[in-house]
Amino acid sequence: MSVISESDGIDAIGANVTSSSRALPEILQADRPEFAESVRPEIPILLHVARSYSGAEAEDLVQETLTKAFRAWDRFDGRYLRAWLLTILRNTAINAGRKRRPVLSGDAETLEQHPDSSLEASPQDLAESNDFVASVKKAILGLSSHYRIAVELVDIDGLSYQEAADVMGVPVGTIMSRLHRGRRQVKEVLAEQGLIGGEQ
Amino acid sequence: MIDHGLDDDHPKSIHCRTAARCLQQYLDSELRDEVLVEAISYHLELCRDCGMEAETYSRIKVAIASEGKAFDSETMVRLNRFLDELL
Ligand SMILES: [Zn+2]
Repeated sequence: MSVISESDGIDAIGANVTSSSRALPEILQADRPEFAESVRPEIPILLHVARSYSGAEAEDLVQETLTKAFRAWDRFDGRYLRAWLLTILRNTAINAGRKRRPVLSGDAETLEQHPDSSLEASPQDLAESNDFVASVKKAILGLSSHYRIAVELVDIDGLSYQEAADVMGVPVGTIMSRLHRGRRQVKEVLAEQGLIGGEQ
Repeated sequence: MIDHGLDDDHPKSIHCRTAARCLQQYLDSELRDEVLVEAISYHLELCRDCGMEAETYSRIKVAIASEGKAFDSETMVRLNRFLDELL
């Protein structure tokens, strides 16, 4: 809620969102229910992807994305809604990151959801979490962020390779190799812990 | 004719390396080639090593997916309300 005011005007971003903040044209009135109806099912995915970008500020990022999407709704061509929303979100995150980082404002305790430092799990930690799911989660946190985000977008958010590629701004082939490597690393961690059979 | 990596002697069978190469796409339902999809599921049933590999990756996939299910409902309620108030 806090972030919106500073960037109430719409940034010139890749999703052809170029107008500035002003009263909504009347033509939009009729489209309003349609906007909410179409966009609402996408909120969980927006939130998750936002978390992968910005941790504690994810909710603000989603709000900002919804606001921009609403203002640009009359320019949405009706196809690939999810990809369109994710593009707005990605560009918003990139712009916000450029403006704010490394000053992480406000509530320090909720800042990083996925601190990369958590990959330094001690042998004892590993021994204690001999539960499969817990180990997978820990292994995911240990991945470099490129691999982790690719894996999360596909496995948690259920994005297609193409959608994940759009979110990350890379070719589909890159998503595929990040997925393969990320998952293989997770598997290797599990094998080291004896939770699965070793490498073939 | 598309090269499906099929074994000529056994039309429905593929080599392990083909199964391995396509496994991730197969598990992610990203393989568009129906013939290949069928050949891979057939192979995974019959080949112990590839079958176990597939099972391991499916379990990992399920475990990762379970991480995301824990959306805190308060945030969702707030965001849904935000959407309504936008209108
Ligand atoms: Zn095999």
